This record gives sequence, C-alpha cells and structure tokens, in this order.
Amino acid sequence: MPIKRVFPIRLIFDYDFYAKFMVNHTKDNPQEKPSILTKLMYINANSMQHPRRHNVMSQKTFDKILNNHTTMYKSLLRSSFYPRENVTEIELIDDEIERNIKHAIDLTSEDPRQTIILTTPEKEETYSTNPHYIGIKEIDVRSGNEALELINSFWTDCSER
Amino acid sequence: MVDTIIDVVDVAKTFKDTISRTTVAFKDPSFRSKINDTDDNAFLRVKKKIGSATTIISVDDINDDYVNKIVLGG
Repeated sequence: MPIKRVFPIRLIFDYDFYAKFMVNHTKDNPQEKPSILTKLMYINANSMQHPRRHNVMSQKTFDKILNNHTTMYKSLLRSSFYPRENVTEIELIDDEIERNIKHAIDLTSEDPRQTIILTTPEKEETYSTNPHYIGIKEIDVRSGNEALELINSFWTDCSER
Repeated sequence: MVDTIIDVVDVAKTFKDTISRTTVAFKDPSFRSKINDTDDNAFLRVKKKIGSATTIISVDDINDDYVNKIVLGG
C-alpha cells in the first residue's frame, strides 16, 4: 500500500522527457508495471509536502503535450504533473530551457529546496551549459536511465510496505 | 445555470472522503459501491456534473494497461 513520504527533491519535467523519453520507454517496455506515468501518479499523490503538486511542469509544456498527444486527457496528465499556471512572469519566457531553469529555481523557495529537471540525454547538456543554470547549487539535471532510477527510487520509497 | 463537467483522476480514498462528506447523486447507483469497493490507493477517473445538483456521471479504473494505451495513442 503506498504511503505518504517527504521526498528530498522536487521534480520538474520538460516536453522532451514526456514526448521522447517516456513515450519511447513505454513503447519499448509495454509489459513494465507500473508504467512511468503510473509511478509519477503515485509520487505526486503521496508527497507529504506537495500533494498533487510534487511533479511540476511549465503550463506551456503541459498544454503542448495535450495539443500534440490527442489521446492524452487533461485529468490523467494532471494526476502525474502539476502545471505551474500562476507564475506569469516565468511563463512569459519563450525559450523552454530558460523557462524550466527559472521554474526550478523558483521552486527552491519552498521545501525541500532542491529541484531536479528531468529531460532527455540530448537536452541535458543544453541545460547544464545554460548561463541561467551555471552556479546554482540547488538545481540539477537528470536524463535517461538516471532519470528513470530517480523516479524508481521515489516510487519504491512511497510503495514500501 | 450552465452545467459544468469536472473530470478528475485521483486516489479512490479522496473520492470516498468526498462522497461521505457531501450529498452527491449518482447517475448509475452502482457507481457508489464501485467507488467504495475500490482499494483506497487505486486511481479512479471520476466525471462530475456541477450544476443545481452535483451528479457523478462516470467512474473508470485507471490501471497500467489503460495508462499505456493512452500514452501510446489509444
């Protein structure tokens, strides 16, 4: 039975993590249960500090997923990811990399004060070399198997009996 | 008043708490037992009509097969 947990890190997801990594992983591993989206649902629901708001996305990213993946419906996506709709000045930034870095930094004003951006291996360097990212100790970037391991560790943590 | 449809996916316990606290009608009376019989931590998709009276109009189980189908394009 899943249990409520205080997770040590807040998670923020970019478009490519969903559209490339997660969709391809689901396609390549159809028998894997729970699926990544289901694990994220449990993490989001069982976060003691940020219930239903632990896994974050830019509102623009959330809307882009719904526009480009027509079978996905809003309430299912919302159960795994919280779109940050009330951070207008950050949402006005067109560049997704800069926007996600600034969302990540903004999230560190709340506990647990550490944020990890989850993306694809192809995008990881684009984040880590961005001038807005360099020198910020409270945020980090993960991709590919490292991102999967992080999700699995949180999932295991909240599903321990 | 215009009816509004609210579509939400959440753990069953949240829906159980809501229906125990409020007066809510069910389009199909079997929805009530379906919600109450579901494991607290299972995910359900519930559509509600909010208007002059709240009515639960559908209840679906969210399992991995369902999620994979949606993620992969139906």
